Amino acid sequence: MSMQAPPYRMAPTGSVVAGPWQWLIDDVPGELPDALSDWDYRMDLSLRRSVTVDVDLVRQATGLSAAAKLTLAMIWTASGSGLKAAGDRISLPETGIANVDLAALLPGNQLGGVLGLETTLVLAEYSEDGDLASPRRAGSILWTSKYETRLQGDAPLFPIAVVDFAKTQYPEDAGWHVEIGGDLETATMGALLLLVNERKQVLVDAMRSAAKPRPVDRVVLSTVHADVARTLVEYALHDQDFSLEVDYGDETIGSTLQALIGRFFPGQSLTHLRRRQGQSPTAFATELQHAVRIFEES
Amino acid sequence: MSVLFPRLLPRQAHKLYEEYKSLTIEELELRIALRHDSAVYAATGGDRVREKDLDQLRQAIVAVARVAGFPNRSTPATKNDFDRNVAELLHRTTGLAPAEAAARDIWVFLALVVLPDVSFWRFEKRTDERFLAKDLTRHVFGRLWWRAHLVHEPDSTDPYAALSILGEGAFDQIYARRRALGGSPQLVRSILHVWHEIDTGGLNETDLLKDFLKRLLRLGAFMSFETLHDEQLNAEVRRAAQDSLHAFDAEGRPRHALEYARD
Repeated sequence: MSMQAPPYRMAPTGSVVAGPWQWLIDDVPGELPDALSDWDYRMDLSLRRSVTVDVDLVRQATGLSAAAKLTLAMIWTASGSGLKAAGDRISLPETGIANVDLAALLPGNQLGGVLGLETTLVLAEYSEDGDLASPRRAGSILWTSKYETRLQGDAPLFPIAVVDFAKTQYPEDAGWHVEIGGDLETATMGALLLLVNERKQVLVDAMRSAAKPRPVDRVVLSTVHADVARTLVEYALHDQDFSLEVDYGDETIGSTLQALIGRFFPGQSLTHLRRRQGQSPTAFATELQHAVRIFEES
Repeated sequence: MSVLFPRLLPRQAHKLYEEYKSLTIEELELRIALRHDSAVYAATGGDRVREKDLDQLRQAIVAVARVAGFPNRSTPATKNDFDRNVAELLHRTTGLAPAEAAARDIWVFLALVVLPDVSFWRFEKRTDERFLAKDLTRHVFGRLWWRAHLVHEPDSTDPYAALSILGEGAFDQIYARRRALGGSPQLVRSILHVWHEIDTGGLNETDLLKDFLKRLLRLGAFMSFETLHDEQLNAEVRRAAQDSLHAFDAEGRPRHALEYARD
C-alpha cells in the first residue's frame, strides 16, 4: 500500500538503518535474492534482518514522549494467496540506539507469487501525551521500507501445469497454451496458467530444469518466454477495456499487463500500439521479439 | 504438506455451465464425477488429491446439504447454516494451501464436476459468477473456504466460532475490500470481534458496517494494523467503530428511520 502524507510527523530517514534481508538455509544466512526459483509451497522461509534505530532521534522528530511505546515489526504479504501477516514485533527501549534483529519463519503453504517484506516502525499503543503534530493511534507508521522477492522464480512467472493436450480442447501437437481467466482485477496468480504439453519432452525437460537450465533448455525457455509475452501483450491490446491509467491493484492481471507493456514499450500509448499492431501485425510481432530480447542471456 | 486439486479450465467450464444451468437436480446427479479429462494440476506445490478423498468430501458436503433441505428448496436460514458448516468442512478437511485455494479453477472443478447437484441447489438463480469463479468472493465454494480461513483461530477451542458472527452480505463487505483489509486474518478477526461486541442500537447495520470499514480503509493509509498485538489492534478497531456510531448518532435518528421516512 502506498503511504500518503500522514496527519503527523514521521521519523527522519536517517533515524532507521536497515541491513539486507537474509535467508537462512540450514541456519546459514545468505542475502535474500529478488527471486527464489526453487521455492514451492513445501518450503518454509526463515528470514532475518538487522535494523538500527536511533530512538532519541525518532522521538525528537515525531514529538513522541519517552513514555510512548515504539515497535519495530516485519509484515509479509504474498500475492499468490493474497494474505498478509506479521513476523517479529520487537518493542524498542525508551531511549538510546536500538540494534534489533528481526526474524520470521514464514510458512510455505501461506505464500506464493511475489513475497513483500515490510519493515515498519510504529507507535505501539494509543498515545495522547505527545506534541500537537505527533501520531496518536496505535499502529501509526513512523518509518517503513519494503523489499520484494518473487517466489517460484522467473521461468514459472505463473503456475504451470503439464498435461496431455490430447485430453484437452487444444491441438494435441501444440507445445503450450496460456490460459487467462477472470477480469483485469483478478489476482494474476489465480488467473494465469501455462499449460505445457506432456507429449513434448523437450519442453517438459526445460520446464523442470528452469532453475539450472542446460543450453538447450535456455533456448526452449527463451522461446516460451517470448511467446507468452507476445500472447499477454496481444491479449492486452485486444481488450478494449484495458487501460494504462486505471489502478487495477497490486498483482492483478491488469497491473501485470501494464507492467509488461511499460517494460517492452516504455512511453508508448495504447492507442499507438493498437494502431501499430493493426496496421502491421508482423512488424509488431518482430518489435515485440526485440523488446523481449529473445535468446539473450538475462 | 499441501494438496493439489484438479483445475477445470475456463473453456470447458463454460461449456459445462451452459449445459448444466437448465438441468434439474436429478439430472445433475447423473453428471457427478470425480475426474474430468480436461482437468489439470499445478506442476509443483504438493501431492494430488486422491479420488477417494474427493468422494469423501462430496459425501460430507451432501450430508450437510441434506440437513439444509437438499434436494428440495430450502430457506435463507438453512442455506446460511449450510454455508457456515461447509466453510468449516472445506477448510478443515481439504488440506488446501492458501496459494492453491486462490486458484479459481479448482473451485470450478468442485462446483461443476464433483458437486454440480449441490452447487445448483445452493444457488437457484444459477448466475455464472456462482459457478465459474470469475470472482472468488462470489463462488459457491471458494468464498466459503476463504471465509473460514480468514476467521480461523487455530489455538481456540472453537476455531471457527467467528463464522457465526456475520451473514453472507456482511462478510462480503469485508472480503470485497480484500486488498486493503481482507487479506489479513488478524484484522478480519478483530473486525468480527469488535462488530460482535458493539451495540448498534437499532441503526441500519449494513450502512453502519460500510461506514466502519471505510474508516478502517482510510486509517490503513498510514497505519499498519498487523504490527499490533491483538489487544492494541482491537482497541484501534473499536475506536473506528465508535467513531461510526457517534457519526450516525450525530445525525439525530437511526438510519432505518430515515429510510422509512423516504418511502
